[in-house]
Amino acid sequence: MKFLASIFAPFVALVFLAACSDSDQYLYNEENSVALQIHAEMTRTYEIESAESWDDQYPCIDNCTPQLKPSRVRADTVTFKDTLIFIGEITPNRQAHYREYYWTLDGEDFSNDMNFRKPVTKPGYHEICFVVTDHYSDTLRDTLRLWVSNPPVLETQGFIPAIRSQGLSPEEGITFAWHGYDPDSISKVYYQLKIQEPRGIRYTDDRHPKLYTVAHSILDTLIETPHFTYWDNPNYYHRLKNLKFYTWSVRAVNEFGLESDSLIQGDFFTKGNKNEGGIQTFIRFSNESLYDRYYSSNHGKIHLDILDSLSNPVVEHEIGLDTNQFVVSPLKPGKYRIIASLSKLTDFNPDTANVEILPGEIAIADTLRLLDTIPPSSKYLTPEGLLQDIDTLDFKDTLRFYFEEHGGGVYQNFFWNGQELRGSSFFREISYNEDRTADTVFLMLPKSYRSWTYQLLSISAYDYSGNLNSKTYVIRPSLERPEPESSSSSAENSSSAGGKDD
Amino acid sequence: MWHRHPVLARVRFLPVAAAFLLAACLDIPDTPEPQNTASYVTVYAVQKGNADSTSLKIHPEDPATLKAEVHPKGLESELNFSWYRDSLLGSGSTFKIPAYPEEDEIPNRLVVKDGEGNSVSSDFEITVNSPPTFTEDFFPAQGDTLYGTARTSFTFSWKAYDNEDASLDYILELDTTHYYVGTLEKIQQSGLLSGTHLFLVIVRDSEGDTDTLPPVKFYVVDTLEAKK
Repeated sequence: MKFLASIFAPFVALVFLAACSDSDQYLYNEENSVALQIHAEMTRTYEIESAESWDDQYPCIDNCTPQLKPSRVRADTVTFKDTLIFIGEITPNRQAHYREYYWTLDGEDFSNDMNFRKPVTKPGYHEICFVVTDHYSDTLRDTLRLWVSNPPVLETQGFIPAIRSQGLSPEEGITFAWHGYDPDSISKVYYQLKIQEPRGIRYTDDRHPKLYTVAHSILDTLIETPHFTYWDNPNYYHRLKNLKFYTWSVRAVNEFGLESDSLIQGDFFTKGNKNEGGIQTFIRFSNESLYDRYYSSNHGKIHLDILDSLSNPVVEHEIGLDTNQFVVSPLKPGKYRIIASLSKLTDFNPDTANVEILPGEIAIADTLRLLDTIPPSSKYLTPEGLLQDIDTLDFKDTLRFYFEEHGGGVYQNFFWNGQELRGSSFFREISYNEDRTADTVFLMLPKSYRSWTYQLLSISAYDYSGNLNSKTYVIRPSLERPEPESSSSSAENSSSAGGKDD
Repeated sequence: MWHRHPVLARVRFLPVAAAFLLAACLDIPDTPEPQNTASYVTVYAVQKGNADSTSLKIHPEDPATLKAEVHPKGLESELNFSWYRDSLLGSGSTFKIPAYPEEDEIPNRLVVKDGEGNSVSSDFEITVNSPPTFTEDFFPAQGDTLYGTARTSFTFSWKAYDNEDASLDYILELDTTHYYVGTLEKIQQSGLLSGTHLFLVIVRDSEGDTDTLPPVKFYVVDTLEAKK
């Protein structure tokens, strides 16, 4: 055995040394293998709109409509709203032996599909990697690069002119300035600037607390710079006039069409002569739905009186409900009293405000609040058409009630022995009088409501300012009292009427 | 019967194995010699002790020095530096630019050579930029009193000039509020209550050089309050 070892030991050493000195013949020969290649791409959509140019046309034969290839890219800038299609390819297909594949987004798991559609919503720079592990546990990677754009930022503090700025002159140039920027510094930011002459202000919600009803749009433009100077031009169709109130707003939009979350809303007054001024005031109602109900009606007119310090009427006119903000100018500097009333809606109490006008300025008076504190009235309407203020009624198939309200709309709730009556089967017709200050309600009572006991009919009438008028009518028995021995049938009658015994 | 001594048998084999091992290891390459050539060279500008290696910007009012930095470091003494602008302007690892230089006094190419004829070069462009400067033409002036109410639009105006830039960017600071007013040199702003106020303006040119209008203190007197 030792002899054999001494014979073979040099051969073993030779083999080792030969491997050391001539190792090329043991190297991996790529000609004997199939090289695996991977490729990752992305596209926004398979639609033809994604093609960048007509050079990307599919071949077209026999006068067909050219179809554009979707553009596939390896790096792009998108918005968080875009849905992206990620495409992974492993070649050659048939010979490819791979163990697994997956996608990562910034190193985190993203998908286990070869091709998939998914948005990337987190703004900023991202690397999307297509990873394939082959049969020999070698890892192949192909990386896509993506910028997800943020919406532009518009700072709502520190803008020019400040809210309610006075004395701005279109002839001398009115300057507007604000601060906006693209937080990613990858896209150009534009600004939509509007200047409007408001007629009124409607209060909506927290996000848009003020919504101006516009009389005229003076300017609506898209500019590249965060500042603008308005110069008066006699050729403009709508021009800024002296001693008037205007609103302006700015929203930032980037080149991807993303709008800033915030909106700058400002307003200003234009300049007047030194011996002139004006008054601005706002009108609020206890019933904010007045505008919707009466905007096209003569009842929706606000009567306005402006008296000077000697109580002489200076201005007297009527304005619409949609003009709940108004400016009266020019007026001479001095002290004035404003009286606002709704002459056709007499439930509303007039309100007054005192104000002093300084030369060249528009004085802002306290908001005039027209309050309706009078509840609606209700009466029984007889079949003959007479209004009766009574408490006890006979049971009838149809009962008519008349409601009168001089402060906007009224709505009613009917209760039969405490249970609310609902549905069209009870109320056949509601008619308004011509000036919409009164309603007639027809209450249809089913026969099953007849009873040999007294029944209660309660009516709650609210106006749109929240004032309540409640009234309860007693309905007389409409059936003969059953004989004592027929107790079972009387119980049946009582229960079918849904009422309770007195 | 011949018996081989086990120790002798191993000893006989060892020289053969050692010979093969040594023969196999004879092709080990020599240790490489340290590199003595510069791979690249960078230029930076130094002015008033401030080094600028990115924008290579200098102000014309003061002399500046251009410095070359070769990589790897430590080879400067073995290399020749030549500063060019069309023709050779100077040599050495530094180059001095005088105040108010002419364009042809500022190099835009550096060539570095070693003793063996190897060379690397760097092309660069020195930006000579004057910072913007405010004029004395601004309103309100120091100590002015303005009359009006909190809603009165007061005019603020200023002016700066710059030798190179046609339009300059301004930031207006009114009390503690910053207004990015862009290229505007006159604005009207309201909201100033009765009392003492400060305004200052910062101007910036396209090269990022700035100047600041010293804070201007002014007073607002409320005309309505004064009447009372």
